[in-house]
Amino acid sequence: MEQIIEFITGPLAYPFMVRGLIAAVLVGVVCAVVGTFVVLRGMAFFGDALSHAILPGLAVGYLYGGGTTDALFWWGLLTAILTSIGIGVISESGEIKEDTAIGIVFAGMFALGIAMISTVRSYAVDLAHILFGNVLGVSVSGLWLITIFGGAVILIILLLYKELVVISFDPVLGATLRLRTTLLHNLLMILIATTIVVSLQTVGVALMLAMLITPAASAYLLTRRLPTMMALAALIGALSGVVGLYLSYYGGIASGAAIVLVCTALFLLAFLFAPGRGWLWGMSWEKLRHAALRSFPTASRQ
Amino acid sequence: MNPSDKADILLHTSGLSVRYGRVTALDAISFDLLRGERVAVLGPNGAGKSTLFKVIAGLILPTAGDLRFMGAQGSPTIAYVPQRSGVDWSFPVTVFDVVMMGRTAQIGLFRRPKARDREMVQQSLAFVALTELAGRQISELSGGQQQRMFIARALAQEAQLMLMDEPLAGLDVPSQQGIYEILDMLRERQVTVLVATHDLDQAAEHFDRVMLLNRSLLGFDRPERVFTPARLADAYGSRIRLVETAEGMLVLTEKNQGGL
Repeated sequence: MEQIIEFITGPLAYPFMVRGLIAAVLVGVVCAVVGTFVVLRGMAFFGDALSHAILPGLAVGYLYGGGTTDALFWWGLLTAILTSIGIGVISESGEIKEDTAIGIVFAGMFALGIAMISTVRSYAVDLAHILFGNVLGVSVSGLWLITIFGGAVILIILLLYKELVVISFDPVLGATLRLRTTLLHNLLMILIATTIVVSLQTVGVALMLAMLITPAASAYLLTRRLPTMMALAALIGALSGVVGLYLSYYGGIASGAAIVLVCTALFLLAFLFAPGRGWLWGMSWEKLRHAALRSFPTASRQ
Repeated sequence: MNPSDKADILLHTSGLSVRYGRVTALDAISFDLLRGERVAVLGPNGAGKSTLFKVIAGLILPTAGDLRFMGAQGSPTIAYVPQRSGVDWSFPVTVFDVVMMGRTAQIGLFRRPKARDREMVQQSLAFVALTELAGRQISELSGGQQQRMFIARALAQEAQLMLMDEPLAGLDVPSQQGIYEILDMLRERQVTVLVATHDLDQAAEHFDRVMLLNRSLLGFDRPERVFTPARLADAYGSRIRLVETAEGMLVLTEKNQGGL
């Protein structure tokens, strides 16, 4: 028993570990709540693109802002919002399909970011922190930024919940109800952008998408009610953050990767065992045995 | 029903045109829609049925012409009942949730549903006989039940005009019958219903008036007056075959669907 308590409290002796845990939980919750809409609206590609496209903004914050948390945050936020507007403008022009527009902006911006960072001598280390996050390096002011902006994102989603659900489920209904559908859609993109920037230090640019969609997708498999899905996703996101950080501490694994791997493991569990919908559900032992025999024909002969 | 009776006119249009770039989708359409009547909108694919619905619902603005809602309250509440094939049925909402979406405008921004909203939803569900299934996730409904759910949502919206896009497509005969019974009840409530359909037979049997459309308005009158060989040939061209048989005229059309 004492060992278990020691196992849990041991890392908490380090202030950076406590800050990291708080950040991971906050980010897990905010990403999961926003991610619910990303999953339901099929915006995964947009989320992935946006998180990569903010790289030049981070580079500017890094090269000219001294690389402080605040500088990275504000430059990242500015770039994310400009990028989502840019994608909107190109796809609304109707000349190019939306996913193509997203792809062009995403790759171009990412290349620009790498080009900018590559001009610095400590290129590899700097790039790695931005790409894969450094949750254990979160400062107190960084925590405040996450709390304030993450809290604002969740508050706006709760206040506009029913309108956001309507435009996600049936945009035509939204229009006949005289909702400001374009405004709401743009607002949702800005909320996704803010969430990405807020979460940046935890998992980094490259793994951001997992925090947005994997907990929400797991929750989607476990319930058929939207409020429940959102709450479950938040729980899974927070849990992944905590378990991932302990895994990182004891296993010596990169923290961002550890968090994402826990998310993925939880998704696999949901995929296999979700009541009524899981892959193994409705599989009888008989069917499983047949499946096993088909996969390993040699086993049956022994 | 007498179209000249001004008091009963819900919607008046004159010279309504919609162009997308160089393509003309609707060409100078003029008609009056009466309160409480049931109209079938017929025409081949690309005839402008969807465009007409979008203009009436206010989703797009006409390029030219005039569209005016009559009556004291000004613009009526309009509900659009979507084609079933265009709906994401795996969306994690219940039947009750979807019908409650119709109340979004009445509930108001930043507010939660009140007792009156829940009561309206319950009444609307009872009207289409879905009370028992209110808690079901929407994919667990049959095709007819899904269509009735959207009618309930339109009722919860307190719609005076319902635009229905192919509401009977893919439904079996008993389900279609169920929808027509509900449409009859809607008529008693003075709800005007506009139905886009490909089914000439159903249009002739179940509707007060038929609107025959192929970019321009080719006829808008009682079915027997609109369904003449000359007008049908005008609307459908080579896409329709008219065959004289001993029992009357046989009309063969392409079996296909359009959507918004």
